[in-house]
Amino acid sequence: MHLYLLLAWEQQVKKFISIINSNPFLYIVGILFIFFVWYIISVSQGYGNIVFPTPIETFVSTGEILSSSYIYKCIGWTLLRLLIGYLISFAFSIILGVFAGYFEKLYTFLKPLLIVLKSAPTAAFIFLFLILVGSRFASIFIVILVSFPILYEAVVAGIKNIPNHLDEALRIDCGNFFYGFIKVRIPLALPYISVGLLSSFALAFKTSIMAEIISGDTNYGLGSAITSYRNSDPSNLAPIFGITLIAIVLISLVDIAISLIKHEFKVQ
Amino acid sequence: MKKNKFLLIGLLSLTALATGCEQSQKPVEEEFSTTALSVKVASPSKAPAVALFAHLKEENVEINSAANNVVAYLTNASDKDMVIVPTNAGISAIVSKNAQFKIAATVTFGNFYLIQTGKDSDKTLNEGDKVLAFQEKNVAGKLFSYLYGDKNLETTYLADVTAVKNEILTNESSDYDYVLLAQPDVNEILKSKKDYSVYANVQEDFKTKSGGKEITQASIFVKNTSDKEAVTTALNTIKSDVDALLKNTKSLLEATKDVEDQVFSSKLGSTKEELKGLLDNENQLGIGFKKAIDNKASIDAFISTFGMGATSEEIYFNY
Repeated sequence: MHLYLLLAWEQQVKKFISIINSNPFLYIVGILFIFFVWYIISVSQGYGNIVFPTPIETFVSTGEILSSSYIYKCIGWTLLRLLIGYLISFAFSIILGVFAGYFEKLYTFLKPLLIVLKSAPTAAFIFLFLILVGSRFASIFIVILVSFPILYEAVVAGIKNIPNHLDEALRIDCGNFFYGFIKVRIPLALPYISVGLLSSFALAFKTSIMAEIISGDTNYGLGSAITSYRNSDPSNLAPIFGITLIAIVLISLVDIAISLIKHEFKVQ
Repeated sequence: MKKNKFLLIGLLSLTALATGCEQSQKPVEEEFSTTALSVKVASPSKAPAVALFAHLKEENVEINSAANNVVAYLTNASDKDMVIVPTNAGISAIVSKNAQFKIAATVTFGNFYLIQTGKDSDKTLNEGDKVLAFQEKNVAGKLFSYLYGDKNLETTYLADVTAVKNEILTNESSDYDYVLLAQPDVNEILKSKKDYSVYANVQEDFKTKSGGKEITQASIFVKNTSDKEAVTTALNTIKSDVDALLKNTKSLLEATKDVEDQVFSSKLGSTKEELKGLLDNENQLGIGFKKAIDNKASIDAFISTFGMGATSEEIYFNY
């Protein structure tokens, strides 16, 4: 009887250990840890929601923000501008990345440009685009600027990593270059491209919001919403934290979607 | 008796008809425009943008939350035909940076107020008093220094009025005796800080010191290469909008009924009702429209506070 109980207890312990070792559990604990640290920092400030709002104050404020139609239009406009910039960037990076992947000399020729794009401070470009295209569209160009180098490098890496022997096989079997390119090369490069997509999207999204703030656009956009709430009451940071929370949720959803697409391609 | 009754009814009907006709035949200048501006215009948010209240949703109109961003449009590379910027910044760009623009009209005549916090025991601005102000090298700071600089005050300057608002609202231990603020933020602060009250109207003090001149705070600058006819039409439209607003402040509510509250306050710095209240209360935003060339003396007096010399007539847009 005792042995039976001991075995049952051992099984329970093993089950418990397997639960706390599981990824979903650790993920949830990770989220709770963030909220815990956030709460501690907030309470240690001692000013209520004035300097660093607590998670609860932020959730309340987020609820208020989400109850107005304004924020949905802001999300829509930010995503629209992001999408336009991202698609343009993706198109350019596919075209240039494929050629640069095949032709080493073109890759070398474009390298200085890529270094400039990667290392130049984004904020400096915002002022340039502001004068050239106005505050409403400046963020589109910033998205292109930020995401292009990452996507381009991903495409180049994808193309370059196709084994040499496959080139010969394709030449013999397919005959038509484009057929082999679409049917074989692109699918082989997809894991690299999807990693590029995954890593550049969140960055582009964040930078897009920053561009909206710096460009001073007062129409719809998450950055414009942050400026608007800050200007109406600079002492209350809860709405700003609330909008940040909305942005985090949005980017997490996009991350999940891209991961699923990536997984789908891997399976196939 | 019956005759008299009919006469009375007849007279009443005529009066009603006359009143009705009077209402429907409002003078043109009392109505804001409903047609879109055909030229591209940019303005900083808050007070200067009120001149564009009837055009807030238009594609050609950009209201920017950072005044410096709008000053940056004073270049040929930008597609803006008209920009509303601080008068000193616009003239300085024309004179020292050869910006291809001309000054056409002034639309903001000062919205600054000196607020007392109740901490000054003698309740008089004098030596040693601590003052919180903003924009040391721009309009607010220069005006403050011109008007009260000789009083040996302990002045702390912050970047902008939002920073001042933030300091007052968040720092409970601040010990300033006076705070320089601009409408519509003054009203907001007075609502939340019961000890605070208006000490001085900076506009009035400027008039007294400068011999009756006005603060020509923000003006419309027109690009030299823009179509003169289109720009003139736009200027006339803005003038009639401002006139209509000052004659009937309800125009503000009517013209912006399709503008969402949050977007409205992003652009004009306050809620619709609060802004209307400020306009009703002696036009505390300092909104107006004066052709620049007709107000040259005031413009010269204002820019002299920045150490700038008198303007040449060449930089004025004639229309």
